[in-house]
Amino acid sequence: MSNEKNTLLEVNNLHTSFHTSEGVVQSVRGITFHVDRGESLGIVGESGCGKSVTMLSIMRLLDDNAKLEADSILFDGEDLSKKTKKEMRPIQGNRIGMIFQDPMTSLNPLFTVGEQIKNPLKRHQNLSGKKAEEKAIQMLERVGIPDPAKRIHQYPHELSGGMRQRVMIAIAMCCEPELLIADEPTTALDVTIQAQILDLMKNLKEEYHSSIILITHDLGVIAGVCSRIVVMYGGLIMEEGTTEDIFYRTAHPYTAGLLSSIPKEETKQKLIPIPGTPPDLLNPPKGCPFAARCKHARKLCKEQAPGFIQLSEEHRAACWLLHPAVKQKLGEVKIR
Amino acid sequence: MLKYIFKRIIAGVLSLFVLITITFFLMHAIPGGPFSPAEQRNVPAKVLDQINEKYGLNDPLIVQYKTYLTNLLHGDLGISFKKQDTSVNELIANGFPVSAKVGVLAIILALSIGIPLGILAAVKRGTGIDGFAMVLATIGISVPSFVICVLLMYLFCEKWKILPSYGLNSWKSYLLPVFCMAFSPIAYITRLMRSSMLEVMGQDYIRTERSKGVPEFTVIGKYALKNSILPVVTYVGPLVASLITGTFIIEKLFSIPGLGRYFVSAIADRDYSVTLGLTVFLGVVIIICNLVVDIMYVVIDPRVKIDE
Repeated sequence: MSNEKNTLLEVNNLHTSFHTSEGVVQSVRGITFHVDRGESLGIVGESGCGKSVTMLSIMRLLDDNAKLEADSILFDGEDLSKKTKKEMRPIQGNRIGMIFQDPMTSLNPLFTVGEQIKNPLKRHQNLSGKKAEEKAIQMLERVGIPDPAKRIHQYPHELSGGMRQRVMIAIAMCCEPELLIADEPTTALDVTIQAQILDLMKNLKEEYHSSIILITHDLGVIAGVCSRIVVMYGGLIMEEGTTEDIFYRTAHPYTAGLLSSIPKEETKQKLIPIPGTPPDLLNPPKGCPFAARCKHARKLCKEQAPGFIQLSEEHRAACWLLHPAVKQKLGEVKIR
Repeated sequence: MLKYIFKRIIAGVLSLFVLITITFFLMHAIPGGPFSPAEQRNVPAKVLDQINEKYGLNDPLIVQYKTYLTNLLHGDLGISFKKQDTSVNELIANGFPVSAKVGVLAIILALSIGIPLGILAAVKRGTGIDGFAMVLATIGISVPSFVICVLLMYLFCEKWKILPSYGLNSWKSYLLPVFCMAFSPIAYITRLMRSSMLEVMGQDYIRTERSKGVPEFTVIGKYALKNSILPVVTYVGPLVASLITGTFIIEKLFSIPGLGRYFVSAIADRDYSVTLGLTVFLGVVIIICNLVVDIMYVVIDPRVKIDE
């Protein structure tokens, strides 16, 4: 992989499970990935594949019934997985900012917008009340909120959804974090606002030299923002590579399935859905998690999980079809 | 805001009028009157007639009703039928401060135990503290106050003889009645606080606060508390009204010269003016408390808009 010094975040063999009344749900089952400085990494996958849990694990914001195990979660050389909740606080909201999916519920309805932005500024940057207010107004202006000096005294319910997501971005970016984690930041917004929010995130990232992890189930959103993509399914990584690798040198049948379910403007052809439903993570399958829905699946796929096959320096995928021995027997299988 | 309060006061006066009307006619519909025992004691009919005449009981009901309302408008709640020469105004003026003192102390106690205990139970859900708080809350809700009263009186006043069992002469004599009065409200407030705190703790905006690196104590004590306190405010409003006007059982058991005991005895005595007077008074206190609760709502939750 890339040069050590350039890596900002390195997640090694992360497992996260939840103890529920029905049993242990294994949401994340051993994933390894990294984010370089100044890079935008996209994580795609459908609902319940473990994307958000991965991010909450990195931020150590999991509920009490969750169990996190990892060889390491190295952030700028510090292992976050070994830190206590208290030791995490100088990092949360300061060196790692986070934006959540639903701006309608992510802001506290009983406190003013100003209070919610000033809070991390006072805490992490030791700004006085007046300085924090100035910075908060500046920040609101930066994220494109008109009349920030007035807005700062308003409550979230007085702002539209797009405005609230801008406020969330202002909160996440106000301490100029090295890493911004955006968990489906545009899913709850309508399309015109989506593009504005994505542009804003891109611009702020350039301005503050931050890295971004963008979580989404929308490959279209990712293509415009990210240089590298991780595809997750059933708590595991299926494929990882540059945006070009994923879109044009697709190696995993699941990625191929995702791509053929994106609506295309130019052709009028019908969308091709992936039949079936994601695996039950209470009893995850022992083979490839996608085997039950994969049209190329063979007996081997259901029995044994495939390892990663390195396709190029940055491109890897976990599929038996790519294994040299299988390739020799079946020849090249066209997955798209 | 002032307009809103004014409107609410008008509405309150209307409710009071309805309350008075219903109580007035109900009281008179109950068989017997304030001087019925005298009738049974073979008091000469002429004497009885004169007494009735003096108190205006011989007039048609509608005239009595009119007289009562006219007097009420002048702030006169009438003279007690049972206690000669005592006006209902005096009765309330003497009894209310005593009841209110015990009641306010009980409310302070209930809030200062109930709220922290409920929060603690929610934060430590599923642990021993939660279990203890919930057992306590269940006992508090299910055991009647007179059982607690008698039990504590036996222990503290009889067995160990460390607290007085009647009157309100020193700070010591407040301990038992205040605690007995607060016992069941503590239980309710604990339960309300716990369930509403649990709900708020699962909200997205609490996760947002945590993602900003805010210490858990501040997250719970500031950001979650403000969101979860509303159900408690709703419950405490009418509670304040009923506690500061005195409770019958506790005032009776501890011989506290408050208002509470008149509520029951006045009805049994068919003491029309006292019953009506206390009902009007309690009505006014409840209306004020509800108004205060509604104003508190607006202060706490900016999304609540008052209809102007």
